[in-house]
Amino acid sequence: MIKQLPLLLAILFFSSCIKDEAPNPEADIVAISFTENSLRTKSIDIYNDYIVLYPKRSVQLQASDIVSIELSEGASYRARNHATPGDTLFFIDVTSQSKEYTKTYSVIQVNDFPLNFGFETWVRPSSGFLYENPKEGPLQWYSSNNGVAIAWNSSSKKADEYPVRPKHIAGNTAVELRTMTGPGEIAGGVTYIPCLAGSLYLGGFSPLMGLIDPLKATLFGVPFNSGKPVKLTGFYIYKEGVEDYINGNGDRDATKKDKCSIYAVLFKTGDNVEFLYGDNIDDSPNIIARAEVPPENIRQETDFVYFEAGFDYLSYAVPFAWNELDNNEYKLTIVFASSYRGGYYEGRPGNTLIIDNVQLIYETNDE
Amino acid sequence: MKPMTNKILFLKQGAIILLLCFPSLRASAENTAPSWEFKINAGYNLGATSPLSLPAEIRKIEKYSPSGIAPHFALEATRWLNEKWGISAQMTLDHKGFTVRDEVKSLHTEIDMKDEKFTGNFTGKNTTEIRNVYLSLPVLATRRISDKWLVQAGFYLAYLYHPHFNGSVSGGSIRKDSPIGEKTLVDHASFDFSKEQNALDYGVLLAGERVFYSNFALRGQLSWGLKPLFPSGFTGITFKMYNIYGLIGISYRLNI
Repeated sequence: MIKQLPLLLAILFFSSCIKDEAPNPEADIVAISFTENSLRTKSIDIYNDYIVLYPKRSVQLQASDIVSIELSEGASYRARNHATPGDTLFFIDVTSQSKEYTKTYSVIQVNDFPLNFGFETWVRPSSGFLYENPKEGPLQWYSSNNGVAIAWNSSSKKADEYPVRPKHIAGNTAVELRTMTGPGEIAGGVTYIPCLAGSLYLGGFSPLMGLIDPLKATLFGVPFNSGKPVKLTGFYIYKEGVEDYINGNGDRDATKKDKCSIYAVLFKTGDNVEFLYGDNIDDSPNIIARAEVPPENIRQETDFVYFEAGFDYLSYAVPFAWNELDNNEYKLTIVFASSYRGGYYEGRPGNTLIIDNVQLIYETNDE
Repeated sequence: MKPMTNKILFLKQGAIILLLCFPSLRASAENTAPSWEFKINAGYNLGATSPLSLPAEIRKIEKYSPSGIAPHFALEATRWLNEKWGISAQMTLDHKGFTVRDEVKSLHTEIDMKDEKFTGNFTGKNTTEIRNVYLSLPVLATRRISDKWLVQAGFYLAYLYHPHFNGSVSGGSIRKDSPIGEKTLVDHASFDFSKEQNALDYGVLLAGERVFYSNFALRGQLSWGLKPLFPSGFTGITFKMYNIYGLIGISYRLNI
């Protein structure tokens, strides 16, 4: 009993002073739904301050089409029309229960898949960080910048300090992906990042998983119903870094070669498959076809090199079906990376991949 | 009481000087007057380095455990002014610490990294371990109530000789900069604020003693720090924490 006494006293002391819970300061949209059959996807991508919708053809969504919305506990919202609706349809202001904070969500719609990716337009996707990602019309590219921002957690790092940045060449803007030395152990051992590689892809990003499981944070795939992909074409400049290769455990290896990645994957969504992830993009059973520039064919030139990679349908078990395409069951991703195993925090710092004028060539069903 | 000797008169200048001279004093103490009294105290510190009232961000205290070994040692000199009143000075070594495991909600914190600060609002579990060792100099008014009882009240000034304030957060999430920032799950992250702590502490002391056998007395004491543990510019913890510790110990009066 004597032994327990201090503990009892302490519990009495502390429990008597635990205050009532403060009003919730969070102002999140947790879930949202729109009029049935208006969207091409089953789930809706909700980010910290924007929402991406893929509406069906000829559907024009408005704030009044919101069927249900789930907010942080106690929060309230108000939808606000965009003065000139375009890619941003409208805004949703969410005010926290505590009334201290109001967060504005932009609701963005993405319609047809772009014919050409020129990387001319760059935007700052997150208000808390300075990094930029390219955007083609309303379709946003995601990149390793999203994850790197969380690892660095720096409001002051400039856009061109990130692994993915715009590169101005002969009056045009291209995208430059770079591999660099990582921050090592971050924030008291949250995770260990010896190497940061540049990667760029179509899909989404889960900041929630950004630190604890980066491979699960990269979400590959955007809805694709334009046609049957035939080939991926574009231009690159690749330069291998001169520093030692850094392994995932931080060990350096002077002899190990690195290579870049250029590929695209078409896959079928299902009940539990909305996206592919860093850990199954190569071998998911949902893959229908894949196009890749084989690493051994990548040349190191000072000027742009044209690439063309045909989609291989034969090596994958899931057959392509036009009705499934029309039924919005397919997703597609295009991926570029400055290091082959960048997702595992591996690579050769200094590795650089510049990409421009990417096209996805597809055939349509004329029957 | 015997009349005071010149030597003692010389030492009358102040309790702190007296303390500094303690070893030499003791050596020559055989012919001192009984109006001086010297003690050795030993005890166990039990308490918390805590905000005065828990901030709303702390939702639950899951576990509190006092430090396994949290000793208190003191050398005390008392100059009796009359039968009832005296002035005491001590030189003490105190281990103040505990471990607490709690649940926090939207607690703002800032963790120093190599060249950046990891700033945000954390929700989840937190474990904090404090094992600070202080050297302190209390000055006390001493009141003799009876042959057996005495009480003391006064101030102390303490120097943080060995700082130790660290811990970890786990099983939660952090939001960048504010409660509406981007949210990221955090498995485990550790922090070490040892060196951020103020090197000095001061506060008030209350104590009572009861003689239970010969020269031995049971001693109880409360020390209440008035200076926050961290400097005002420190942003790792947003609320002010104070050293609030009780002590249970034994006092031994030296026959000199």
